[in-house]
Amino acid sequence: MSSFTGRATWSDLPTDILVILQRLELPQALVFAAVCTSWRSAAAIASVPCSSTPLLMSWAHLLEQREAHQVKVGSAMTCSFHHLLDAHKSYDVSFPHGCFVACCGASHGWLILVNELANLVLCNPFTSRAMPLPPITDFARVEGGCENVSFRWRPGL
Amino acid sequence: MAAAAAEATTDGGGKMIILISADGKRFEVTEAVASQSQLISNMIEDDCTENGVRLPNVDGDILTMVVDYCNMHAGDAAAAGDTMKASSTEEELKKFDAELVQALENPVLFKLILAANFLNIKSLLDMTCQRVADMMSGKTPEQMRETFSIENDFTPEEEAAIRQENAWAFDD
Repeated sequence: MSSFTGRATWSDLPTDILVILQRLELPQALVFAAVCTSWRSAAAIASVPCSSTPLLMSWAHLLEQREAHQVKVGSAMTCSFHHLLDAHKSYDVSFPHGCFVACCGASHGWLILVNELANLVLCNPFTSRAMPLPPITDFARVEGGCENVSFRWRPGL
Repeated sequence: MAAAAAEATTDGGGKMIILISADGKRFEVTEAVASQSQLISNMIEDDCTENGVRLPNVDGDILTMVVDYCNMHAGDAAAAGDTMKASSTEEELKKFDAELVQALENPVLFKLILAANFLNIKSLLDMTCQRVADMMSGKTPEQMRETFSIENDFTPEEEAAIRQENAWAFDD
């Protein structure tokens, strides 16, 4: 690390301090990570993106489009994320092709999505990482199916 | 300041500690004031403050601010001192902190963060880091680089990939 009294710069801040700088709300934290390489690695250590305030996610417009049969299988899906602290601000987040037919839950920043093959996919919309889970049709008494675009899912418990 | 500090010797943390900045300036403070720094507090416990505490990482002008801050906040720790001239009220403290932090600009803010980190004064570090977070609020990566004079060391390809990954965050 550069000497404290010398000509150190903001990108030389020790990583543990950069981690404290991660008090930023989500979109801003991603911007922070895009400033330079050392801030990007600090953001990775602080496991950005983590947001202290939950975001509200809506995909009502997708359902409407689906009703109207305007959605083509395989096209990318876009959902709106609303900031709770700033209700007027919303962000359109796109999902990889075919991985979003329905959202059935969220945990630790990951969304549990149902893809167009009726399988579950864990998806982190901020890192664009997706983890397919084993097909649910492997379980006994589970029927997955897609009719047109509408979706039917019967977990047999 | 010195007088008030001397009176405080009746109460617990009576010993005076000498802090020496990188450029040789000396600051005499009470143990109660100095031990807000976890680093110095540990040194006091280990009895290694006899000949003054040299802080080769901290400039005199920054140490002045740190000592002012610690003097102001020493009341929290040494609340028992009724005899002490009524230590700063909570409101005064808030005002002092707000004014200190508002006045902070780039090079000084940067050095103060490093000093607070080195000396391990959590409240001061929190406050200064919050100030930086506030300065970042609502800025684009380019504006952040300008504000903090940071060179963009991504390759154009890397930068494009980052922007693509979270395109929604870079809307405006």
